[in-house]
Amino acid sequence: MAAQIRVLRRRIRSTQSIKKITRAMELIATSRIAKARARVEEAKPYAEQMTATLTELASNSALDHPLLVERENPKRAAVLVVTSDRGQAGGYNANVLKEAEQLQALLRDQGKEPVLYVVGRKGVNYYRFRRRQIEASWTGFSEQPNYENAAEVARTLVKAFMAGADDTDESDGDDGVRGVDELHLVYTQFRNMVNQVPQARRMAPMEVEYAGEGEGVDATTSETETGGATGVRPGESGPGSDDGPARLYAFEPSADVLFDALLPKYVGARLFAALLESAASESANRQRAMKAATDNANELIRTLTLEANQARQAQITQEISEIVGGADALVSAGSES
Amino acid sequence: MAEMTVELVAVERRLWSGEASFVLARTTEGELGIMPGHEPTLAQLEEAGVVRIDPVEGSPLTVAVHGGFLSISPERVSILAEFAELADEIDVSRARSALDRADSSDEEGAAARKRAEVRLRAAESAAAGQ
Repeated sequence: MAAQIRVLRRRIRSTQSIKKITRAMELIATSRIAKARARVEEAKPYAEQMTATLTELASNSALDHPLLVERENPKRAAVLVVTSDRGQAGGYNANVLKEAEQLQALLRDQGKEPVLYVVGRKGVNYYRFRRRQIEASWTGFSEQPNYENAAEVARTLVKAFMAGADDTDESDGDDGVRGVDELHLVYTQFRNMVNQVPQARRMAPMEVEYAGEGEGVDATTSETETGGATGVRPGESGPGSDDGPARLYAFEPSADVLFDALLPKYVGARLFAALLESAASESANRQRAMKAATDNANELIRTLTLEANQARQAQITQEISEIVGGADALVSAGSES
Repeated sequence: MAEMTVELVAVERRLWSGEASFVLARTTEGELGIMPGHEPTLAQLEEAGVVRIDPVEGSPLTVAVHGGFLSISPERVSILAEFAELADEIDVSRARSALDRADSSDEEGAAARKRAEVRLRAAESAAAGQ
């Protein structure tokens, strides 16, 4: 009896300290969401200006940059999976990894070999446990990514993509490096506080859309919508400049050289946006998971307290009945003698 | 005096925007001074460079810009940068120690050295101007 109460009390105590931890994590995650969302907002002007500049350039340069041209007979496709470094985030990592698995299955169906690039410790562990080869991985910044991190990932990916340009079926091409022919990105899109959706997108080759006549070329790709910037152009506020083809620009250096320099930076900027959104999603997921954990702990404490009280009452009742029974026995023993 | 809207945007945030009368930058081709009504131009700035903006009000701004692009139209100038720092935000002692630390034998070290140099140059020219 006494043992049971002691066990219950111990469980209540440990549940209380778990609750303290989950509650703290919930609060931290809540503040991180706000921060991450503010950073997404702050990164927007750059993405908008970048799109605008690319739009101007696209109408003035030959669109034959390797990042834009569809490769004939693509063999290998890079898949960048953005996961978190820590767990305790509900289904966040499982959802991203599931999406990544689907994408890889799709690529295999199309006869392309997926090559894995992973961001975040959880993703690395997932693939390592399954003995799948990871081409490159980056960890340690999933919650608060810097542009430096995004740039590093982008450099690696663009390099692999460029190296893949001269690969053939049998050989690795002149550069002797086995590159990739496509770049895919799997990350979690932050729609709102309760809705985060894993997304698979193709980063390269980019799809260039022609947006109507007289508007110039709109070099938007499927991902630019995440930055909220599609075809925004500066300097169009003045009257008269809206009509007609894009204004005549001077280029320093030439348009093609500029285009070459700008595209990798564009990839970097978009990757950065994806990392920021993933960070916001991760925090939102963690906040929700930790809130559920705290609620569960409260519930558990309630039922355990009830049980402990019942056990305590039962013990008291039993003790009383033992005393009364003992006294009765003594009384009846005395009357007999 | 004529003026134009200048925007200085880094990847992580918008650093400065406002009306200005003059912008001085160095592109990969050479130095470029921009006044309102400039011919529409897109330019790549040198990998690490100093940009000066003379606002209509207040003292000139000096900025260290890394990996930047410049988009100019007659009434507007946008400076896009991977990293940018306003001169008065630059920690001179930190830049100096980064310069000392940077090992220019490899590619990365040389880039770091260049960055530190530009930071110092921006800070110095801002100090000289005041």
